[in-house]
Amino acid sequence: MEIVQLLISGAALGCIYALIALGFVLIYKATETVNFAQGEMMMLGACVGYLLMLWFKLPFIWAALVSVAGMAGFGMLLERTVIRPILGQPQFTVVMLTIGLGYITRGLVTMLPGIGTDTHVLDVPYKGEVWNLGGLVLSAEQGSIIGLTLVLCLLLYLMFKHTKLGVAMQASSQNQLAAYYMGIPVKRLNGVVWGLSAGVATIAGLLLAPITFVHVNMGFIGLKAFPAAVVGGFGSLPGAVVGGLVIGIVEAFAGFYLPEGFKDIAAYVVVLAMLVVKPNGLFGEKLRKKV
Amino acid sequence: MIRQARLSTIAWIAVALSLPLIAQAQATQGVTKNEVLVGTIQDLSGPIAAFGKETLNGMNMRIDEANAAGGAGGRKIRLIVEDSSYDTKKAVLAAHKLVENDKIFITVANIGTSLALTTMPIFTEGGVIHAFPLASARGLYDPPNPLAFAFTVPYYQQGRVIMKALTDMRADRKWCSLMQDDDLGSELMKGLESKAAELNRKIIEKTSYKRGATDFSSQVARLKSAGCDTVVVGTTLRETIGTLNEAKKIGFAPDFIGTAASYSHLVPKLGGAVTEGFMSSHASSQPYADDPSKALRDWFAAYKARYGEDPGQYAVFGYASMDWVIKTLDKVGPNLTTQRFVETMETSTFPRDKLGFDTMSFTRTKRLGSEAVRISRIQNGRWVPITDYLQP
Repeated sequence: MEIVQLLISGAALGCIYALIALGFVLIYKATETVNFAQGEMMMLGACVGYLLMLWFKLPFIWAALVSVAGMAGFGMLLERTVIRPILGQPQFTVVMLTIGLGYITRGLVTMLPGIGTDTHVLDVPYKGEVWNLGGLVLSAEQGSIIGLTLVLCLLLYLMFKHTKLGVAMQASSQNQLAAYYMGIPVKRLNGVVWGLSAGVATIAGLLLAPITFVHVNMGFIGLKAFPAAVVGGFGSLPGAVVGGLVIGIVEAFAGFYLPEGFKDIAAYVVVLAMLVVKPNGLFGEKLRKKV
Repeated sequence: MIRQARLSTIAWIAVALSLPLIAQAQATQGVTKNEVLVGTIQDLSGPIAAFGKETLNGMNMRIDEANAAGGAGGRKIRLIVEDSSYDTKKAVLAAHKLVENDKIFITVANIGTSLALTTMPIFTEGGVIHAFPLASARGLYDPPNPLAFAFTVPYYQQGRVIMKALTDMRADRKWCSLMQDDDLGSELMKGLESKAAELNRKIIEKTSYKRGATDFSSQVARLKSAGCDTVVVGTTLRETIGTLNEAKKIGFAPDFIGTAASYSHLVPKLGGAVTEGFMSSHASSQPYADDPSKALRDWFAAYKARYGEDPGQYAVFGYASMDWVIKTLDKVGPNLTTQRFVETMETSTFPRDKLGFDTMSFTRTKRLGSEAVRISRIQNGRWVPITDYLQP
C-alpha cells in the first residue's frame, strides 16, 4: 500500500518533470537547440495565469486557457525575434542566449507589481480536495497533474500522427533541408514548435502552482527536467514523458527508503547510470549525419 | 634626460598614490564628518525574499526616523543594500564589495544563517563591525569576536527549549525531524539532541530536504510510517506550508513545531487553515494591530501607513537592530571610531521595549544580547504565545 502511495506521489511529480522535458525535447527535435529557459517559461505561464485572476478577476479555467494561448503566442514571438536571428551560430551561442533569457525573465517578473519577489497562492477550484481510493490518498492537485499529462500526451500523439502540421513537424525535425525542399515552411514551423513548447510549459506551471505556490523562482524545478529528458533520450517525445516519470518515482522511493540526502541526488545518479549504460537514453535513436 | 623625467614622474605618481592611503590609515572607514555608512546583505529575490524585504522596510523606517531628527551621533546614516538571493556565493561577493569598494563602517541585519557564518570573517577581518545578523548560529557570537554582536537566539538554543518545553507539556513523545540540509537544520538538530540526551529522549526518525525543495511527499510518508507524534521542522516559509499540506493530505496529524525561521505572519496567511495548531519557537514577538501595548499599536500603524502592508517579525528585526545601532551611535557621539563604538556597545543594556525583545546586554565576552526563547502556536490564523520566555 505504501509502495502504491509512493508511486502515485512520484508519478505526480514525475509528470511535471515530463511536461517540462517535453518542452525541451520538442524544441530540440525541431531545431537541435536546448532551451535553458524552459523552467522560466513555466514560471511565466503560472504568473500570467495568476495575474489574470488577480487583475481581471477571471475564473481559473478561463485564466488557464488565456494564459496557455497567450504564452504559445509569446513562444512564437520569442522564436521569431530572438532565436531565429542566431540560428546557424555555434551551439554555445544559443545555449548562452537561452540562459540569458532565463535571467531576464526572472528579473522582469520581479518588477511586475502583483508578483514581485513574494510568494502567491493560486486559487484553483479543486484546492485542498483529497480523494480516498481504498487506502490510497490522492490529492486533487496530483490527480489533475497526472490526468492532464495523459490527456496532453494523447493529444500530442494524435497531432503528430494524424495532422498535416504534426507530420510536417516530424519531417522537419528529421531533416530540415529535405523538408524545406518538400515545400514545408520550416522557419514558420520552428515558431510553432516554440509556441507549443511554451504552451506545454504553461500547463505545467498552472498544474504545479497549487503545490509550490507562484513565485519567481518556481522555474528552478526545470533543472530536474534535464535528467528526465536525458534518461528518456533527448530526441524522443515519449522518452521525455517516461524519463520524467522515472525520475519522479526514483526520487519518491529514494526519499522514503534511503537515508536522508539521497533524495536530492537520486535524479543525477540515474542520469549518470543511464549515460554509462545507454548514452542515447531509453528511447533515443543513434542518428548519424552523413556529410 | 628622458630617463630622468620618467623616474621623477614615477616618483610623483608614487607619492600621489600613497597620500590617500596615509590619510585613510588615520580615519575610520565608513565615517565622515556628516555621514556614517551602514551596509546590509538581504535576500531580495530568493526563497526568503519576503523576509528580506520586510527587514529592509523596518531598517529604513528606523533610519529615516533618525535622519529626520538630525542623524545618529550627529551623522546622517546612509544604507547600502546588497542582494544575496539567499545564495552564499553572492553573499561573499557582496561582502567584499561592501568592505573593499563601498568601505562601510558597520554591517547590520545580514540575513541567512549559512550566509552570515561565511561572510562574517570578511567583515571582521576587514575591520567592519558585524552587527545583529538575522541568522541563528553560535559561531556568530561564540567565541567572542571584538567586532561581532548578535541578537537572534541560535537554532541550537531554540532546539533545546523546544525539546524541554514540549516534554514538559507531555513527556511521552515520539520525536522526529524534517530539516533543511544546511546550518539551520544541523544547528537545530544539535540543540534538540543535546537536550534530548539530558532528558533521556531520542529522535526516532530524521528526514531532510535540500534548500528550495518543493516536494516533501516521501519525507512526510516516512515520518508517518515511523509513527511520529511530534515533528520538529527546520523549515522556512514555503517548506513549512508544503509539509503541513502534505501531512494533512495523507492524514498525518502530529504536533508540528518549527523555529523562528517559520515564525512569521506569512505562514498562516499563505497556508490558511492547514497551519492551525502549528507551533514555533521564537525570541521577539509577532506584532498585531490590536496588540495590548499602545506603543506597539502606534508603531504598527506607522509601518502600515508607510508601506501599505502589515509588519511582520522581520520588520521588527530590521527596526530593532537599527535601533540598537543608532542608540549606540548617539551614545558615542561625534568622535566615532570602531573602537569607541565597540566599547560603548560592550557597556550597553537595552531594556525590554515595545517590540517585545527580552532585555539585551553585551559585554566583552557576552556577544549575544539574550538567550531567552518562547513558544507560540497558530490559533485562528494568529500567533499566540503558549509559554513564557525560557532559558535554554
